[in-house]
Amino acid sequence: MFEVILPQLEVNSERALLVTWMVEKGERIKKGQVLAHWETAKSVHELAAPHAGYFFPRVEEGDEADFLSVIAVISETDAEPAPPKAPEAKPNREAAGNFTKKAAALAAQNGLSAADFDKTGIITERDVQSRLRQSALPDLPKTSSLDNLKLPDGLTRVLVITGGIGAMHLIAILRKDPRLDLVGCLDDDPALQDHRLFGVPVLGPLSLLETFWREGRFDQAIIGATAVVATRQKLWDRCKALGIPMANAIDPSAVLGAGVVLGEGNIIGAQVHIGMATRLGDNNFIAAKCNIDHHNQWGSHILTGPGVMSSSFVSVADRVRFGTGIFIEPLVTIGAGAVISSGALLLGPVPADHLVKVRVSTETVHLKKEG
Amino acid sequence: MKPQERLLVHHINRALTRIMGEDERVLMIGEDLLDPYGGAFKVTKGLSTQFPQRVHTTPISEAAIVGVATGAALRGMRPVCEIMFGDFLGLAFDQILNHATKYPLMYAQEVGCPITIRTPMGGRRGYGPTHSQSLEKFFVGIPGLEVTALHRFQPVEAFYRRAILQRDQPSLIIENKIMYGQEPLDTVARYGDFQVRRHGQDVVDAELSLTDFAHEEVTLITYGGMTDHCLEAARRLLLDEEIASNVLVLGRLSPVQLEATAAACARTGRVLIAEEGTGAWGIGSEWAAQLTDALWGKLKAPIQRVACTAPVLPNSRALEEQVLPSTDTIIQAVQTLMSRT
Repeated sequence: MFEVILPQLEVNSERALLVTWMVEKGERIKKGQVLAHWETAKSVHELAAPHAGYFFPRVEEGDEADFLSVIAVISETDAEPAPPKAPEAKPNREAAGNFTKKAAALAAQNGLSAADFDKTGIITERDVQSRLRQSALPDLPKTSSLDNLKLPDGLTRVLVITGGIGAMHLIAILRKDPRLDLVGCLDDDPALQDHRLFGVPVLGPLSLLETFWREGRFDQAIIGATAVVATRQKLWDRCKALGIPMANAIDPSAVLGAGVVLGEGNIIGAQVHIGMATRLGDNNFIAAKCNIDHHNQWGSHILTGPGVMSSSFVSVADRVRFGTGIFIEPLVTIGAGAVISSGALLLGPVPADHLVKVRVSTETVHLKKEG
Repeated sequence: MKPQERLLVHHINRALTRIMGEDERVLMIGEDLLDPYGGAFKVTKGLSTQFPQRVHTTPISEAAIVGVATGAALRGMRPVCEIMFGDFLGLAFDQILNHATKYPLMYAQEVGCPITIRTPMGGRRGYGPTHSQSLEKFFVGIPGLEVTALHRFQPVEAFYRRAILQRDQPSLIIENKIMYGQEPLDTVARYGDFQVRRHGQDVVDAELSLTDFAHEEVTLITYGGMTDHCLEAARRLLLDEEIASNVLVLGRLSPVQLEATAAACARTGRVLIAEEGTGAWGIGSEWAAQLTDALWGKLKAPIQRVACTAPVLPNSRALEEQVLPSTDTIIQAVQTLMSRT
């Protein structure tokens, strides 16, 4: 069987119109015999048979065909050859889920497929977030905040690691809890040795940590360093290598909603509000007056200044550093290691290891006194 | 319906057939219009058979085509001129500038000159430097001339009926060569993943969005043959970078009426204008100037323009693709817009 291809009859067109076949279907034809008249924009062309045999058309008179497409077949026998197979359907994007790249990643992370979305067009990250928000509502964590404070019965001996301003902050919170016995602080700064922070003594350098733990001189520890994420994480790793349980320090004026889940080693400052069903990892420092609203997911080793206002469904990955007075819109995601400058208003995602800069235009002018 | 009857060229042909059938004042004047040839792009095929007294094939003189049409229009006819390629329109420039458009203006609109000039523009067919250009920018500055560009979302018959029968001043209609071979989308409310809405009557602006006309960050404005490139750019920007845009396909190039466009742009504050002709003193220049005025204080970045980057179009299809604005150049310009915010 020989396929007859419509040649490129002229350069100015892409297809031609079949005016008429000059032979009948099933007719025995000779090589070189005129098969058809094809019309292009410029003229009508005769098409000669490239081969002898029995003729079977694949295009009807009055139809157009693309140049270089198959328009007829010439067979060795007068039996009509089987029609060509329909081209295999291309994989349907719609069926596979028409996700944007970001939406596909977020959906995969949360085990969602296109079937979970009631949408015909492209599914965006916003659609996935909206779907996640819906599914989050009926699925409140069943534990209460108090179950997760991990405070053992009786008096707990707590060692404060570092003895600077952050430790003072921490001690100011911890001393309000009558169930705690503050053993003391460890700090490498020679100037701090023998000092007392609100009555809690600095006992010596950090190298004593391992000894004190081995000797059973404290039950839990907590890290006072609150300025540098890396320092706080390094001290955390050192404690965890020793298997030391870490205390949470939560100011009594803080309000924790239903179903809040805290890890350990967190410092929660005065008048912080943590909304219902929010999860917070380990070793975070949340300064006074922060609002972490409902259904937030915060990681570990996060430091904030005062007054960071996160709205609902905000995700904050590990090691994020916030300045002061920051507002975060619902559903915003902040990648690990990001730094957010004071006064930022976050409307969209912040990628990992990025700095959010804030342009501030503040001018201080002299006040001219009247008279 | 035969496959070729679904194409835009057939819809234009059918619209012209109906309009000629309705009104005996309508004439067709141009080169090689008579059957069986029916015009270089077959837009007028069959008209000379159906209306033999009213389809006039002419010698090769565009000045004569428009000049004769102007005279006929002054005498009460409603002639339609076909300029075989838009590239030849320069030969009729004086007739348009100093004659056809002047009569209504000089006689305070008491004298009408209802001629319609239709012509195909645009490249991507490998027709070379003098058969591939988009020269409409040289005509949009002529006072008294309305310049419109057909697009696939435009209801075809209303568009031609308005120019030919309902206006008393000269009209220039830009058709796109590639579009002749595409199917019209004149009634669709969805096109692929895009939602389509239309603004205006007879001459329609189409607005398309992948995100329910919400949350868009960029507005892409174009006309005629650049439409598909803008839509593909919008699609890729959303899929790859989650940048949502609305695409505005304008039907009227001149006189500029951008109120609805400005309102759509105000939603995003970032505007890109794409045209196929060369950019300097282009369609986008005037649109950008007027939009900057209308959107002052609402723009987040300077309006970007993409256009043909070469002074002359190459014959080679591959080289042509490199200099004509493409999906890639539009995406790059959007990235510039986003980074300058």
